[in-house]
Amino acid sequence: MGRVKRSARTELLPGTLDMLILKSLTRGVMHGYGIAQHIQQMSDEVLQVEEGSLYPALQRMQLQGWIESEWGHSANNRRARFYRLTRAGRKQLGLAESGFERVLGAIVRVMRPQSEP
Amino acid sequence: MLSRFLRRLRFFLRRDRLDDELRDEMALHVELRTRDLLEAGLAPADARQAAIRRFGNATWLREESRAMWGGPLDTWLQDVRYGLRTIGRAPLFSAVIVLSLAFGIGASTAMFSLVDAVLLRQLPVRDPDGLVLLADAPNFGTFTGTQNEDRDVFSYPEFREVRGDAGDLLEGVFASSNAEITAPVRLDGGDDGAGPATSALVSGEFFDVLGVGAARGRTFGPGEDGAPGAAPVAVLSDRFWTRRFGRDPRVLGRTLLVDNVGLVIIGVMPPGFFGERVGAAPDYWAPLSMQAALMPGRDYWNDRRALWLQLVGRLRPGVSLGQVRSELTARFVHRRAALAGADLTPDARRDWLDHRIGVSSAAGGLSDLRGDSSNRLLLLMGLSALLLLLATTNIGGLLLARATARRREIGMRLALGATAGRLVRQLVVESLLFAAMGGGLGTMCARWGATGLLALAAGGGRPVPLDPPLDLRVLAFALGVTSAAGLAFGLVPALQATRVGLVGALRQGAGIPLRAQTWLRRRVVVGQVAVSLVLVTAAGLFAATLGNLRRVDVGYDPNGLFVVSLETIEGGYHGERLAALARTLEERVRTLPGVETVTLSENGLFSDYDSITEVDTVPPTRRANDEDVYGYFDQVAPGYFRAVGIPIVAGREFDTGDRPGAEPVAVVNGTLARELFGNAQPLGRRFRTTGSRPQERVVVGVVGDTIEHNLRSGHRARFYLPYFQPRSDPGSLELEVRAGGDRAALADMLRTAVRETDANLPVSVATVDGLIDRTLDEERAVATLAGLFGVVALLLAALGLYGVVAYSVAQRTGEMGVRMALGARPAGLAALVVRETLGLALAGALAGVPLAMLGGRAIASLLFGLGAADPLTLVEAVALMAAVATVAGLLPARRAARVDPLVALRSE
Repeated sequence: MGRVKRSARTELLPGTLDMLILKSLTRGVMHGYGIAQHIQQMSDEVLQVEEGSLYPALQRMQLQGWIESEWGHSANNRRARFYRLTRAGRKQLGLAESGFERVLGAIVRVMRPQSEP
Repeated sequence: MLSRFLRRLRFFLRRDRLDDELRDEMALHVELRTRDLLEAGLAPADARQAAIRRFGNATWLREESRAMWGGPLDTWLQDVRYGLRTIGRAPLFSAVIVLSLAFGIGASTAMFSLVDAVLLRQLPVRDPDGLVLLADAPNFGTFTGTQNEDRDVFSYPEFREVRGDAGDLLEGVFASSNAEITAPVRLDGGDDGAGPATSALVSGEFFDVLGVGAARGRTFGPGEDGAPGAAPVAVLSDRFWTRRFGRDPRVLGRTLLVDNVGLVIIGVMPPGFFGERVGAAPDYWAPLSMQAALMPGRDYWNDRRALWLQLVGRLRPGVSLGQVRSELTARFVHRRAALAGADLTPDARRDWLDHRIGVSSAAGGLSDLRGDSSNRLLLLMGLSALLLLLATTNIGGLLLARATARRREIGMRLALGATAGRLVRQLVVESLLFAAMGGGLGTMCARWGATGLLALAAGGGRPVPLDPPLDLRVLAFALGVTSAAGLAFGLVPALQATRVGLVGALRQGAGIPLRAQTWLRRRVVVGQVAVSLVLVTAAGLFAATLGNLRRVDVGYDPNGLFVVSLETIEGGYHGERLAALARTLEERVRTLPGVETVTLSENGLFSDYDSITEVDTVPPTRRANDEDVYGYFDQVAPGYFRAVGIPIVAGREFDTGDRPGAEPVAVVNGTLARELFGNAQPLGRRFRTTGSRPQERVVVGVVGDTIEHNLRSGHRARFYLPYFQPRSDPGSLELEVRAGGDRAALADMLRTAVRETDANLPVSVATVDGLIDRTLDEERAVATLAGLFGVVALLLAALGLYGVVAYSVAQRTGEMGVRMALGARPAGLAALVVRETLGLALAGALAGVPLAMLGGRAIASLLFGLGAADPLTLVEAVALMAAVATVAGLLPARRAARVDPLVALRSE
């Protein structure tokens, strides 16, 4: 498990964590743990970020104005902070996604070159 | 961008709560993970361990978030807090620094405000750069006769001509009277009494050329200034409107009675507008055409000999000052040539045509405060800048000493991983804090300092109505000086302190001082002593100047000699009426109790009114270099010399026989007698006054030299004419009364006597010694300030010396202990320390003496009765410095003498 975690961390492209968080939040309001769980489950446990590093990222994104937070109560009635995407965050996600797709496409083209038609 | 900054600020301000929240949030995360892992089947202890492991370093992550909220703000704030703590730890040390800085900055800023107001600031009018000065009349009053060379005062007909001639060069020209008329005014039909107000007479172009309109109502224009008495109107200053009428808009359209002349109030000028003369504050402006009405008995409208106007114009675009100068002068001379009489001798004709119109920029306005006063201002500003330098270096020295003392702390922090940059920043922040505190306090002091300076300069009299605001430029100046000071005295010690090698700093115990540092400190102290010697010498020179001026022998006894000044022009007296008034008052005052003698004259003593004319012997004398002789003169009553106490050297005094119809006579003083007649006996010789009204007089008496108006003037060639056999009708009347007894009571009695004769005649009474004292107001202000600066400079130098020596004694405690153990006597050790202090002081004095002599040369024109490098003053300054150094050395010397060898050696 540790090995996977480490490799996942090293292979996360810069800025990807932000994008993953933003993407997770498109599903609705979530607390930190929920976001971590969501990323892990959606990536079939491949992407296991060092969970704590989520929090400085969340702070930074609040400063950027991409997300907002408020305190509420979790499903089992625990006090938790819930994050919500802002309009700026949605815009940022769009930018990040198109950038990501471009990079991904390029990587794919490099890794699996198709024969010339 | 802005919203992002605000968000950042909100985060910053809430960062403590955010931190708590983050901790809660992280704890929740670990808890939830633990629960999930438990559910997945891990043992409780393992589950928690795994959860924590997966989370990562929580403390570090929180730090990272914290850095995000605070950003650079947080570290700066830390530095500021740290700085404040260090400052608070040594309150006395800090107080000394802050106070000396505050004094330096306060003095510099106050001086700069004044210099700015008087010399730098532009007139508050439209496009002041376009204004040019054609003539700046030197004094209040009317100058009759002719004036050659660069004209600085014009007659009304000349103004009309210049105005007509200048159309293609200047957009407009206005003239204003150099005579400030203060007269009682009241509202027509108002029930409040009359109070004095000061008027300025200006031509109709005044407001147009300056480009300033009325804030209420309207101003007057050229159309209302065409004929004598055409427009009896007045425009009020905002200050007068506020003071007198409480800003009541209903005064517009009402009539202001000036004596008995009515002026309709047509407008009020905006606040801050004072006209063209810096330091003057007219209460109202009236058209020049009202001159004859407001100055009864004098009509200058067509009088070419009455020179009373100053001229200011506005340049047309693209015209240069030189062009205006040469063109206007050419046209002016051309007009004079047309007026020249055919009977003029070649010499007289040359004089008649030798007139020039000088043109200079009037962007800063006219000012009586320029010239000597401004030299004094600049000088004081220079002195205060030196003082600031001294305060700054002193603080540098103190901080340097402390930085040395903190070397261990700094070494420790470096060892713990602080970067040198951060340490330097912290020390600089500390200095900037000092600078900010000193600057803040100093700027506050400057506000009342500048006002106080003006009051000081005015002595007991009417303060100059300057309102030096602490405007943005002055504030910028204060801030600039403050932060430059902060950086200067913060950076050097900070760099020095961080240059300490890690190992060196930690290894040293009480420490051998860094040689280089001690060297630097000693040099700084020597420099301080040198600079303060300059300040002390300046103080000494000004104190001596004041003393010398006070000791000037005016040639008669000014004590108990009263001068009763009558505003005869305003009172409407002239010609025969004035002569009658003079006789009546003389008789009346003579009978008053306590009065010993009474006499009268036209110009009075120390009144600022003096007359001068060119004189020559009859027949004319050929002199070397064709030099002309000028004589100052006054017209005086019979018995004048005996009454005032001026010794009659030869011949006789005027008597009642010297009247119109009798032979015209004159009395000359020794200086004029020598200049006119050389060594020949002057009695019975004739001389004539030249100029437009040549007149021959026979010398009937020679009197001692006197000083009548200006202590610095020395003895002037002077002659006297009988008041009742005048050269031209006297314009004014001053009574000189010698009386014994209570001065206040006598002054009251004299005023009452005048009031009983004519209740409407403005009068002022003063003693000549009081008037002389008034002329010394500015000198006294300069001497006082220079003295104050000198004392502070001495204190700062003493502090610097003390710091350096006390530090060196502390460093050498061990050495002292060894000396003591080897048999040195405490007194001997104390002497050693005092000698060290004196050595530093003398090195400073040695460097300071040439500087002081150089500085003395710069202020030579302001001194009186002593040279710029006055040896006595220099010796006194050095002696004073040595005395202060000894005192500064005594405290550390006492500590050295009390060193206990055992304790000292053990601590090694």
